[in-house]
Amino acid sequence: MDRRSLLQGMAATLLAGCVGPRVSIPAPGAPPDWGLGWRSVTVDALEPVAARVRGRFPAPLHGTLYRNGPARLERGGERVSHWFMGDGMVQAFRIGPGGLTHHGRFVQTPIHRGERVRGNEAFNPANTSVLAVGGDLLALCEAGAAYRLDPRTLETRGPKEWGPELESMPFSAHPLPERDGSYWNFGLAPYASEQGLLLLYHFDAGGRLLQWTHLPTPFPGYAHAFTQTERHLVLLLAPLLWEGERGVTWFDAEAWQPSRGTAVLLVDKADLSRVTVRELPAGFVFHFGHAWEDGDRVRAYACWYEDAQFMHTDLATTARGRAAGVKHARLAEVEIPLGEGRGRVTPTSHGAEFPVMDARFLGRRARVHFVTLEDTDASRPHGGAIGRVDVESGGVQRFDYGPGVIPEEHLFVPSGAREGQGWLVGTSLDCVRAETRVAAFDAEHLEDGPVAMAVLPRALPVGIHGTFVKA
Amino acid sequence: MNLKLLLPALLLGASADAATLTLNLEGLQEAKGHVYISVAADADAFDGKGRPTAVQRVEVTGPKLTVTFPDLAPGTYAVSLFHDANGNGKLDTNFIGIPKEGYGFSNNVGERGKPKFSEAKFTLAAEGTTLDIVVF
Repeated sequence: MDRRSLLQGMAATLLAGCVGPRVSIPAPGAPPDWGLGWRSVTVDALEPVAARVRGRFPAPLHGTLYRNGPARLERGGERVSHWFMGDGMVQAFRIGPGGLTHHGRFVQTPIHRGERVRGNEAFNPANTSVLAVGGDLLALCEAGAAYRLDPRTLETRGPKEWGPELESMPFSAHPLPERDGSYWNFGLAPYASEQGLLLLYHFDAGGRLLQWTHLPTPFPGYAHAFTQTERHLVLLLAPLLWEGERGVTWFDAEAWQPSRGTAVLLVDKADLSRVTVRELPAGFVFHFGHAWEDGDRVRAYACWYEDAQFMHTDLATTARGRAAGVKHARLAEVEIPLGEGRGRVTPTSHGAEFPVMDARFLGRRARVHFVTLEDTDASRPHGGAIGRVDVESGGVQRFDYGPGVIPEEHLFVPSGAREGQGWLVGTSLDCVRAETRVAAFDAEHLEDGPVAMAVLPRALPVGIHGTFVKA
Repeated sequence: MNLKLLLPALLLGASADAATLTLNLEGLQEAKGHVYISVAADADAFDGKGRPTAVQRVEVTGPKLTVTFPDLAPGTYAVSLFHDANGNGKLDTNFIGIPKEGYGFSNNVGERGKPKFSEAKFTLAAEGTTLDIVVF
């Protein structure tokens, strides 16, 4: 079938009515309502609805796409100050031969329920990502405990307990899969001491802790994710300093201290107590691409920001994106010497975020990065396109969702042996028609457009990260 | 308790402008141990770098507790407290510094960590003041 016409034909089809309550469709030419992406869901659960599907989701995508994100952006009747503070709601998109259904549910954290909270759990809305381990779906947020959900109903089972000493310990939203099926993760407790503390976790696919440790950081800086080579865990600590004594947290502008530069911690996977510290220029990273050891250095890709602006951007500004001056990250090559010396950062020309890689190639030299292209059209507050960037050739394939659409992270599902051979599946929010869609692409041919597109009779707030679980 | 230290306080108590601070505590998790309460008149005392104006140690018998400080000069203060449930004389924390026992402050600030004096401060009026404090 002609995939371009698939998209063109959609608008007409959709006017033919959908199940469930709908926001009325604005007149053609109406401006997009970008605020839709940061509007609160006011019920605790979104009941299952069926999507209208055009095209066919290929069999390897039969399963569930789970996504997490802030979906209630008020607390005590007031808007939260930052997007990252909204209550986490997990969305489940079930894909099967019969089509696609969606349901969603808020994670029942103490703060969501309005209960008294203490310590770091007061910062934990469980709103960032999800991971399926040990029969649970974990809702992840770097501030504290992961919350265990029932993967089928999304009901909250309770906080994930790794061990008696680890209750409500910080646990990042970006665990890294190891080749043997286990996972690494880290947590940052910048308030634990003057210099801050790094926790490291190693757990198996059954959700059992294999080992953990904690060690001091050079300064109480910030990291949202980390990356790995075959031998090392690689953590970049941005010079965004939490200083409890001064009452400064990562969300305060005065936390940014670029004169310190970025600290790199290279942790030996074979002995977590062996840590090498290196230095990079000041910068800020949420997410990493591929990384590997290249002779005497670690070569890594990262979505690099010049500063920590995004941490200090209020909710209203975030919703307006580039229109309000929010700067985008650029995919950058980072070189870190294993021996003495300072590292280097070389930004590419690609504005990119939400990088997703072929996990079979993690830790080894690889090239393909699936991203949201953040610089597609500067006149749009949000990029509007997804891309496949080959960092070796510099080649970019892109698919532009068109005006008024916010693409979210798209996940890669392998099908075939080549790096990046398989399918890409991801959500987008149409801010003109007020609907969330799920699209699937041949991951090697993004320009052909989606092979399938499901349109929900509802608009979901913009989320952050997801995971795909095969049926 | 050293009586010599107590004497000036008693003399203070006889002054005409003595005011009573009443604290209604709620949310104590276990009916055991003691709650330690400190009333500080400035940031140094509040941060443990100076002497508090008054302290009390009171037995915990249930989830609620009312404690009075009868002889304080009217003015600005901040209250901090912790519930020493296991009787070891300190607020137990885990290795990243998160309290394992109950704690609280005036104005019910501090759910996310130790507040500043300026966040916890209140005015004790000449006719007395009553505060409700939630124990986190």
